[in-house]
Amino acid sequence: MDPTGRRAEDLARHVLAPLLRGGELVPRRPVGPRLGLALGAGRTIVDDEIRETIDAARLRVARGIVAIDTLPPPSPAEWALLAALNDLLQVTNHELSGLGTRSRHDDLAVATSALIDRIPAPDTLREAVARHASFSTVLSLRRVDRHVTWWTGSETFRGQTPPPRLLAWPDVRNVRVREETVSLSDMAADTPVAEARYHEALSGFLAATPLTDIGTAARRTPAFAWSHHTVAVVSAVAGRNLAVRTLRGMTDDDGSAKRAATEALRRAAERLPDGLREATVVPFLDELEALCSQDPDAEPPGSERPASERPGSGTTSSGTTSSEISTSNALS
Amino acid sequence: MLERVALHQTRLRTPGVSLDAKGVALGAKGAVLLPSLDRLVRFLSLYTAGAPLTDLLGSLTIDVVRSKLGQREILLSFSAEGGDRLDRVAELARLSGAYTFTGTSRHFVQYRDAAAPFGYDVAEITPADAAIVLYHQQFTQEYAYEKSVSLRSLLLRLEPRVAPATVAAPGPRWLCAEAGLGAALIHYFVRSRVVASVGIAEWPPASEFEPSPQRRHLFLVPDLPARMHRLMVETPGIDLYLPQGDGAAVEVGYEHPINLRACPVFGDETLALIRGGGREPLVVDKMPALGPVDAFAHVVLAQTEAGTEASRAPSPGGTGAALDAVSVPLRLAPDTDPWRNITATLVPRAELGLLRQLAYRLGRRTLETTEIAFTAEGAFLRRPQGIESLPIGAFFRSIHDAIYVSAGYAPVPAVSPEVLHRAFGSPADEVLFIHRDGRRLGVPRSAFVTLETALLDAQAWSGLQYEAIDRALARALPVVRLDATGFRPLRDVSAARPEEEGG
Repeated sequence: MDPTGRRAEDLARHVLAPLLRGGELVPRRPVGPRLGLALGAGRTIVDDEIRETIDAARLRVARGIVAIDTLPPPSPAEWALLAALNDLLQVTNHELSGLGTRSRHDDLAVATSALIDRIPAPDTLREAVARHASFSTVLSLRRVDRHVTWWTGSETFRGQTPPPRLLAWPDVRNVRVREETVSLSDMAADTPVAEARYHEALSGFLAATPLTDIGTAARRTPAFAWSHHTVAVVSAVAGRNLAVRTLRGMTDDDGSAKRAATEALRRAAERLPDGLREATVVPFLDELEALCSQDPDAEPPGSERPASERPGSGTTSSGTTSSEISTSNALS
Repeated sequence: MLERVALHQTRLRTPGVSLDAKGVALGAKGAVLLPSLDRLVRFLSLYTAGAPLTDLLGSLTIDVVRSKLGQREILLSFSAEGGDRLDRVAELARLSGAYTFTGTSRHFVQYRDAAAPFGYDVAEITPADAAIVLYHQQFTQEYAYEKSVSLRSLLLRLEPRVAPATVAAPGPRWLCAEAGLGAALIHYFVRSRVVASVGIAEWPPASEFEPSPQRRHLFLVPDLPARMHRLMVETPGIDLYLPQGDGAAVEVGYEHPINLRACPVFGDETLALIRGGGREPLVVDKMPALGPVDAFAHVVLAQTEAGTEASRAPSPGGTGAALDAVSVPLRLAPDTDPWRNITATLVPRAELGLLRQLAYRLGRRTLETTEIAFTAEGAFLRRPQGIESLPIGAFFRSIHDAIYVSAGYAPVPAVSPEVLHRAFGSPADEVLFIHRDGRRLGVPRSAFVTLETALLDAQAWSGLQYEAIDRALARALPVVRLDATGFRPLRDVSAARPEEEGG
């Protein structure tokens, strides 16, 4: 196997597989833009077990939003996104630098943003679904920081396990361990990298997988912003349906979560040019609000007209959007 | 008691046994002692699976021998003609639970094995007047010949076993049809343009009270079309046989326990038709003369010019002139009657996709009762209860069990459906579709399968990994563990700025 293949296999085993099936995700050595973009050219995961695990997990996610029996293997863009995610996690790794090399974090964050910028938008809705299938759980990534104090000192272990010697004789040494769970968006805290730069890279990463981006629109940081990836998806009827289903799935069909996501999407839409907003985003937001209004526990939208009276809403009396039917055939 | 023959030993005590060029004790004959008939069949089956029995057949005798204690066993003896042949026989005999001996006339000593590579010799000759004496390491036994078993009769007595794979075996076929079916079968072959030879085989009357001998038609079909296999196998009175070497054939669907191709015991002039299902074999002692079935085709005598002139010449006697032919071609004319018996449809190939989509909407009863045949013209669907549930394709109405005409049309001249059927040659295994555009399409009945079967055949499935819901819910969340990145962690990112690097 060539060195690039080994790197790809390593990323699949230690980053993509844990991301999809859970468990310990250990980021690998930073990949960089050039290698990240070349990583997926004609690439297939060699390890059958890993490949089957990844395929099954991706298919399970994809089936949550569309009736589909097979997903293509990860595309070059997905491999590049995987490399970007790895590098993004390495940006927050305090082991990356030492005294005098603190600029590495910023360098890597800039390189990661550059890599993400070079990842093209999904050509088809199938590609959008595939990216979502691979990275839908990215915001559920957690890091457990352990703050250990003992009678003469304290130490923090970011995403690492304290050595047993430090935890020995807990009663005699008055050892206390406090665990703190850090979400992906907060991982850059206490690192030399500027948090804004990290959030910018993370936001770019999410934008590159548009269905995931829309599905997690209610997130606190980085705030959702419409990108050309997400606008392209919701501009098509089938894409809107996929986005609606993604949002419903990722908010667990919870009315308040859906409303929060809708609000975030609407707020972000105000920053779009008027023509683009009216043509593409507003029909999608209208559909979303119509769905929110159909929830039995939802508050009636006071200032809004009923969704069914809204022109172009595509809502039928049975409560399903009329355009949903054709979604599964519109993936290519 | 036997003694092992030693290397360079020169003398043996066993009469008729000497040392061959390799120093192995060998007599003029070999003998295999088998405890029962089924072991004999097993031995022959094993032998014929690898080599023909031709080399043994000239000298082969199978005898039922009886010991002094009254035990009956089978003794198979043959000319030894060298150690190689006997070695192979000995190996197969061991496999089938038999013992191998060698000798010349009466005294047979155990043939060599791994314990005695040069064979065995007797320590002392048994003074006996028995027909045959067998010396083995474990026993010395005298036997008397009781009766001889003919290999041919043994092969005919063996019941063939079921072997469905032989149905699709390529090659010629023998067909044996009862007397009443022979003529119909000849016409069927002529009409279907199947190359075949036919003859009539006779057997003596089954009893003294029957006046005439039993007659059966015997067909030799070099290449029976696959569509006819089922008809031939399932029609009572017709038996289909697969030739097994010269002079023998086994019924299709069965195979003989012994490879008959390796046992040329039936001869060229006889034919043994071995039937399955517990029926006695049919043996034709003398092959009847076979002739091509084409000789039975209808013949039309061409009218001679002189005859024509004679018939058209005015008769001075005032007799009536010959009638001109009144035959007219068949046409379909639009029919104003309301549609009824619409029981078939032809779905063109272009509309097969629509049929597939429609299949999802059809009820179970419809799927069960609808038959479909795929042809180059498209898919023909039949449903005796009415085809209205499949509102696609060109509809046909049934005017006869085997004739469909385009809906809204009627054949002219308005002959009866039976006459029409006869005019088409009364094909028994074809369904005719007369299309309004003039096409007359014949679809074999065997091509029709139920729609549900066709749908199922078209399906492919793939096994998916079973995953319990609780397992999916118990999936651990991904947790990032940070690790040391090693020396020069950014060496792939390189010192260059991404603008230059990515470019």
